Amino acid sequence: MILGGIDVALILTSDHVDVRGAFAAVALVVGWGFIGIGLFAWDRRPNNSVGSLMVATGFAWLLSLISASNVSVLFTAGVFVSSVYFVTAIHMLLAAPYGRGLPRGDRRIVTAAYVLVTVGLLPLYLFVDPARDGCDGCPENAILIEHNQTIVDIWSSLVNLVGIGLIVAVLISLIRRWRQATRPERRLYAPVYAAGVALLIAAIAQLALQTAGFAGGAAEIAYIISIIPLALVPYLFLASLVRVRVAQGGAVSDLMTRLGEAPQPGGLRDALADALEDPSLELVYWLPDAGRFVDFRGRDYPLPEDDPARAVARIEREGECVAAIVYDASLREAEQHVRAVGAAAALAMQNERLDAELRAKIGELRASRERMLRIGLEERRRLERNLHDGAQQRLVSMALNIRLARAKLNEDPLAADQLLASAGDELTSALEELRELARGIHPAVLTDRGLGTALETLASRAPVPVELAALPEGRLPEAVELAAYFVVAEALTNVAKYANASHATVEVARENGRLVVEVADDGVGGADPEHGSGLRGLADRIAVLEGRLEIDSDRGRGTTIRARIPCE
Amino acid sequence: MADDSVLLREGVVRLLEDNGFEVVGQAGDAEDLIRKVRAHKPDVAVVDIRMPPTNTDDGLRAALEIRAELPDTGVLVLSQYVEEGYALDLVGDSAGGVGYLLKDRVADVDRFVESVRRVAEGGSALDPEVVAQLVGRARRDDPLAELTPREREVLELMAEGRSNNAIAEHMVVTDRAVEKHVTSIFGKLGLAPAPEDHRRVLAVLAFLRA
Repeated sequence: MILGGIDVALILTSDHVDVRGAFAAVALVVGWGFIGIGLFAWDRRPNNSVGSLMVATGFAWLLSLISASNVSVLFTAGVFVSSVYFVTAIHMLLAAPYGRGLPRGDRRIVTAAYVLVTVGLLPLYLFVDPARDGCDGCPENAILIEHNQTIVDIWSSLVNLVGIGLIVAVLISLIRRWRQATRPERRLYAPVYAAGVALLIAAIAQLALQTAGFAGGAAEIAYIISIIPLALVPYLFLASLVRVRVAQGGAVSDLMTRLGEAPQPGGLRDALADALEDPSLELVYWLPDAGRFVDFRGRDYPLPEDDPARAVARIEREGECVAAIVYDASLREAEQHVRAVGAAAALAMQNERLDAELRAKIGELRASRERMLRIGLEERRRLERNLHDGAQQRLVSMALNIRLARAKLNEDPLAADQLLASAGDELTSALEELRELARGIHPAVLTDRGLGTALETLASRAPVPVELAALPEGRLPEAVELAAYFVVAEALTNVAKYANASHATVEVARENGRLVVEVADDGVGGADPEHGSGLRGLADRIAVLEGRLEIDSDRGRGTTIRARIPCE
Repeated sequence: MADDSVLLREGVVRLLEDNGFEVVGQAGDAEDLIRKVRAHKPDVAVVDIRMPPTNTDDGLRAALEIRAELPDTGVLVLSQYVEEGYALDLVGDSAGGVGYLLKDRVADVDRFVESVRRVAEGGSALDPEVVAQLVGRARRDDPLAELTPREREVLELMAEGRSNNAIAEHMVVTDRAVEKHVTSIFGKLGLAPAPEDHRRVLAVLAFLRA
């Protein structure tokens, strides 16, 4: 305010300013506009440098106007900083809209421009006498060495050309920025960009005309024209801030209306994408049981992590996560708005989440049906092989022996007796093999006595000492008992085969409607579920029951296999 | 003789009758078995473990009922599987007049007949596989490691329910040698000597299942 007042006083009393009243008014509109709106933006978004750069532009502008003074020192100081506001304005345009650090190219342009309008202009001001440069009422140049028209002409042309080059570079950078901008970004900042581009073009025109030697008339007009977009920049910026608010309010009410209509599957995502003007938006639902996110079709959707282009807003309802909106990171500015939209749609999300959950279930069921078929086929194949290689071969050889014995019964009873004895041995072996085979298909003791007794048998047959730390009381659903039995059987088989363990512990307990089966050994660890069909088949068996199989097997730390099987 | 498979039942009946047993009744399911045992009060009932009505372990449950109700009737259970759990359940807290054999054993006629006779006379007959299972169980600080191979063999035969005499015959040694082994085993395992064969079985089983 003080600086503005001083400026107005200096302008109104100036001997070398033409349209004093109008110029004083423009001075305040531009200076206070930048500072006031800059402070407002700075306060609302302290991490966004646009606000602070606007304030800087305002001050630089007001400072430059002390060149209106009739006092030599003030005049000289004002003239010396007279182009700084333009560079801070460029800086602001390049920093908009997010006000984060500039990319390297932009940073170089801005740095070069700051150097140019300060150090770069110094030689010019050392050799120019305003009175001999066409300014009649101007006071003396306080830092004049001597007037040298040649240096002034050459140096000012040089500075102007470099200046034009820098401004063109800024224009190119802005255009590239615009082409990369998302729809919401363009919608927001189009007016500010337009004003900025107008300012830059006017400045190029002014510098070009100056260089071409139209110092007096046309360049002056270009300068005056360039003031108009400059003056507009802060107000257009303010308008965009306000419009965001209004548009956001409107988007929420539009969304509410749309949610009232009968939604299609996935329609909620589209409604949110429209409300937030982000076509890349994804709406994903949290399935607490499965512990993962899925899209509306029920397909897995892992949330993006460390992706600078994508932002995530989790939508909660009654303290529980129901969904997450994955959106364009350029909207991160409007995170509050995304949350507001999300909150407005939370109820609808709840419904669609149930749908998604159902679809995910159907997908899982389909997958588990396929797995079940595969398990069945594999088991049939294994059975066929075992029967063929084992009992069948023995029976064939036995039949052969009996035939031979019959043939020899009369002529060589001793040989016949031996043949029959060996047939008897074959028979015993065949019976044993059949017995083991049957146990592998379904242990009778499991049906008869339940999991506890069956596991005791398994434990006592294991080649390493097995401690049964806990066993469930009473009977469980048959499928659950069988799955738990196979978990322990497979785990103990692995312990015997690979673990090189001194002992193992089996623990089976009910926890929150789940049967938790844990087999731990103190062996070498390093079991890999991806290799070896045993563990994979086990995981399938458990998955079919909607359970989960976990394997902790760090090398050297033993192996723990844990299955969680739902069982009400 | 109780088995739902007529073929097997009649085979066993013929085998027993050929070897001097009188078969007083045949049953095809657990209920029929209990009814006939109550009526005839035989010396021994030979029972298949899997029988109607539920086709699970009905035979075993019937056997337990018979043991509780008629202590003088021995029960020999035949099983398709080696399940020491079943055997231990069946023995409970008395190894007198009880047997648990794999079904295949009927093919070894002499030993089978001997087992039936032993159970009928109040002794015990546990399948060698069951015993091997119990003895072979992996243990931490295994006390059985103290036993010599001979003693281990004697322990297994003892657990099957055989008398010193039968053990001696089986191992082709003198009764005296068997007695020495038995004393040594009981000493090493810290068990109190038991006078009768079936009490000895119980002591050994109790030790093995611990």
